[in-house]
Amino acid sequence: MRSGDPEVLGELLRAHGREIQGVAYLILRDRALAEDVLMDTLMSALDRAPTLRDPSALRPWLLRIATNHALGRRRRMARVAYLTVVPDHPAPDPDPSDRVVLLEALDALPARMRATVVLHYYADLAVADVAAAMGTSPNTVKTQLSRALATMRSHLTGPATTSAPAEVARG
Amino acid sequence: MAEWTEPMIEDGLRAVLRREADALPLTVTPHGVLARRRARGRRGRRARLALVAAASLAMPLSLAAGFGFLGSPQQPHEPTYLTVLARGLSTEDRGEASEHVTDLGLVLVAPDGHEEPVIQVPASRFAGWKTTREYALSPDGRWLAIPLQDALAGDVSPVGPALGLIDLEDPDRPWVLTDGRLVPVWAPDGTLWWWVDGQPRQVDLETGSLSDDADPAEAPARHTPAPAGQVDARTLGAWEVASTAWAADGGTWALVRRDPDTSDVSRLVHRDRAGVERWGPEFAGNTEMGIRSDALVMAPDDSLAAIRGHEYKSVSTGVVAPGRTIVVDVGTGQAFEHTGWLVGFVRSDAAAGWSMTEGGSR
Repeated sequence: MRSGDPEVLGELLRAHGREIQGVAYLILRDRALAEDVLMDTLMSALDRAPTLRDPSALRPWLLRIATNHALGRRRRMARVAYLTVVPDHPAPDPDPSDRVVLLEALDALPARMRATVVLHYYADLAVADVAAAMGTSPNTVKTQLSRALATMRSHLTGPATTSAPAEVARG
Repeated sequence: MAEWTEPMIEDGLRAVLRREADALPLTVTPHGVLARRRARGRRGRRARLALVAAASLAMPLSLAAGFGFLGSPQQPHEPTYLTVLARGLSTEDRGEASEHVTDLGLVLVAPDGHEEPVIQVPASRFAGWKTTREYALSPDGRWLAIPLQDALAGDVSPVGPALGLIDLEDPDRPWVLTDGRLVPVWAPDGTLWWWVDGQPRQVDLETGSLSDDADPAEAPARHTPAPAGQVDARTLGAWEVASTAWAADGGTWALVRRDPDTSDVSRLVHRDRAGVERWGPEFAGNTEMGIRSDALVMAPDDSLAAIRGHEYKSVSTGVVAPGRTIVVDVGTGQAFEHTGWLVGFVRSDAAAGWSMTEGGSR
């Protein structure tokens, strides 16, 4: 992998590219930056390949690199005003209001807490793997997840919320 | 009305996050990654060369770094145009009743949000006049046009009875004043246009007079408000950029985009306002708080769009908070929000000669 063989890179992209990009996008909420993070992650993986001792840990290792790149980008873009694309005629969506308010509640979380939520609920990493990816302890991850849910619940049911929860589609 | 419970939030997160992320196309290729890796290796040498070039242009190093001359991964290219904001305009902007204007400070803003004060015009320049906030900077950075109102008359109309032209290259040159009634606009060719009685009139920069024989049809059509898709009557203006129509909604804080292939219209909405934008404009009638955008300005090369807006603290008294400006990279859709009144865009090579000098000299 270190040599930068295009075929190896292609395998990595097919196996993990979409998930890495998804994690980056959900942390940054910016499609172009998410693509940048995906490329940075693969470049870092090429450079650091010798440090990966357990091949079975490739996926959490890649997600850890991606999370670090995304959080680094987020620190640098602290002054960005986030824009949301709102179609004038949105595509049919069973629960558009829930999607919007859930994402708003997620976006309101601190960056590291949001990354923890994304790795657990999107990438479906176990608490121990999230801890490894975030460079922290499992207990800290559990605490962060608990606080994140409480914060989001407060955000969703607070006075600023205008939408009532509809039935959430199960993925 | 049902309550959100934590299990509901967990289920919702799993469904919504998956749907959001999986909707993104995967466009990165192995060859793209390898090309970027090779480019990264060259970046260090290019950054050192850029430092020397920036220093030779007498540009402050902090400014050079802010504008990406150091090869920042986020902004690897030197921008052609930079945003200029105005600060410290008048006591009114601080919520006070006086209409006298204090110093006018111009600030250069880099694409990544870095700011650099560049020109300070002292209050004496404004004696007897009250500035409006309809600033217009010529693309070459030489002329600043400001509609003026008679400070003593206490004119509260939204447009001024006179237009002030400041020559930023010549601090001793008297202001060039001319008459007019609407917001001036700089055309990409460097000519200044002013709408009088609904007709565009060209301003003679040397004499400050309005041309009598200019053909209104010569006014750049790109600066004339025009319909763009389903944009409503509050549209501030519309521009075609690579067949994509861009416009700003004057009633809300949104940049409107029409896709050239599908003709679908979408709005880029400030996230803080997204919940409001979905259900209608926030500003309505005699409210005590509100927000309104009042101008859309595009860089002459169409690379950047800026929406100028302000928040009303009290509509009844007309007191407004300091201006807010959103600058959007048209290519990526990435946006930055700044505090300050939008003045316009200036070519980066012209801005390289600006310095923090009183009187507007450079």
